[in-house]
Amino acid sequence: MSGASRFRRNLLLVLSVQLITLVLLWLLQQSYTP
Amino acid sequence: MHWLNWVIVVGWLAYVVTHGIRRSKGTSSPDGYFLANRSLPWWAVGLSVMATQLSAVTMIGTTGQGATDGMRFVQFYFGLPLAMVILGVTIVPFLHRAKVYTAYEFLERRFDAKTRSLTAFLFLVSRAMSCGTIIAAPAVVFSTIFGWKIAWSVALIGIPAVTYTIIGGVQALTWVDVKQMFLIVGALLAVVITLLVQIPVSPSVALHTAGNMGRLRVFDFSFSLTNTYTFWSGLIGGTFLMLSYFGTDQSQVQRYLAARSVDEARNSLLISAYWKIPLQALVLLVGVLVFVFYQYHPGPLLFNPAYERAVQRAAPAVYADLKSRYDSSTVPFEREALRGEALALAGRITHEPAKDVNYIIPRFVIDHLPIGLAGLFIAAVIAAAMNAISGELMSLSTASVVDFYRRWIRPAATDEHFMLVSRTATAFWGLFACVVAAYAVNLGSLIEVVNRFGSFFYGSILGVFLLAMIPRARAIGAFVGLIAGMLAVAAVNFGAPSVSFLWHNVVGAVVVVAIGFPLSLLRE
Repeated sequence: MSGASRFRRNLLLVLSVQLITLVLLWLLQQSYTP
Repeated sequence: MHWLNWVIVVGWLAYVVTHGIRRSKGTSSPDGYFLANRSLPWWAVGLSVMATQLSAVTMIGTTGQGATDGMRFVQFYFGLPLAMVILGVTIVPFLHRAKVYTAYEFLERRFDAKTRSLTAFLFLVSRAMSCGTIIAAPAVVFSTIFGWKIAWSVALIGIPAVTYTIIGGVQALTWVDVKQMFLIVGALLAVVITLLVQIPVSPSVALHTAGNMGRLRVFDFSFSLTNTYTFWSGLIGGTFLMLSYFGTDQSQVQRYLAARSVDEARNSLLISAYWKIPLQALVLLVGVLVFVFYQYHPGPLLFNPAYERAVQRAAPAVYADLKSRYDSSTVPFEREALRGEALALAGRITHEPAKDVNYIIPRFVIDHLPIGLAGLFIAAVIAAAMNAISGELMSLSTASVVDFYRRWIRPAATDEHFMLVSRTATAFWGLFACVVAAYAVNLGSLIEVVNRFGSFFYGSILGVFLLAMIPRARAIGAFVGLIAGMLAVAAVNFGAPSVSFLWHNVVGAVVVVAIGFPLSLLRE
């Protein structure tokens, strides 16, 4: 895999991980905070 | 602490020093010493970048903050992934292709020598003092808890880190960082699992207990320029802070300059983009679970043993009353209020702002973690401090030698000469950091002033780098813009108008470009 394609793949993963993390944190807050 | 725990700590320190020295092959030239001959793989650089930011303060201070304040601190990092992506397409390719040793060297090529020297000087002043605080924070805690002289704690952290950094440069410290990151994350996960086992209720009930006390409140969507921990200050202010830190701070820039190629340098930053927020959430979760743990187990009223002793000595009856009410109470709000009262009392007795947030996790580790795991966690705290200090020392040495010695004093000399000077500079900065750390208690307010001074120019230096990417920007615009940016940040810092420090970088960067670019056009 070339450097540029690895960078694009990583970019997509970054945004996905970021989104998943924020959703999980949001669910954590909503589920347990009165 | 049990002797077996100390065996683990000492064993780990011996292992990392040996590993660092073994990894120092090929570092006998400035290129090898400062940049590892630009040979490092992206994943090692990425882990090393993360390790440098994860200091002992994160391990004991941020976890403690999780216990007292909950998860909201994680918002501070919301801008980081965005900043990494922006840097990957802007500053990283510029710096890596320029084949420079320091970020400031690039500024001379683009603008002039005085802009380079001023930015490098500002970096040296702020980093030199922060190096001391990186060691001092855990050293003070260790000294208080284990009853050591502070110099011994400083030596325990400083000597191994300085040793492998002097000998192996960036290459050694990067590979040591990689190993230590695994230790740190492993120790944090082990503590979380242990806590889940030791808390006598189900994880769901434990999380409800934390949630009822506001410890799981992550998001604050209010827009406030004075509140540091909101979604918007984290996303916007945090983006500028991370752009400044990762894009212009030599301690970070030096890592990705050591990557094999521009693409590998970019990819290395993306590791932080993936994992920084989950890692910070894990760090804070440790603190939250420790808070829950102490709702079901008897714990100290004051976590700092020095406060405990001072209050017991000065007001034994009041302390005994507070302690018995604290121990018999099962209502979290009431327990929190009693702890607040005890802290206020400690503040009045010791004549200092009483905070024991840095002592919560160490006390829990010593008192409640099983044998072996406590040693692992203490080793992880020292590892975190060593990762941060070695990166800072290397960047201080590089900036001193490349931006000052080689630029102004001795431009041409043999590799052997520069290596001798470079290793001497690393040793000097290591000694300086240890001395500052050893006297940190007495230098407290001075360090705060210097750190505050450091925050004046972070965003402004970012502004200079942003100007560097605008083709029509000129040296005069960069230099005057930098001064104007720092003055603007100083003005908001001293309250005219008052804004949270996360916004200072936005102010600095915007003012530099707003002043520097038009000035450049006028002088064309």
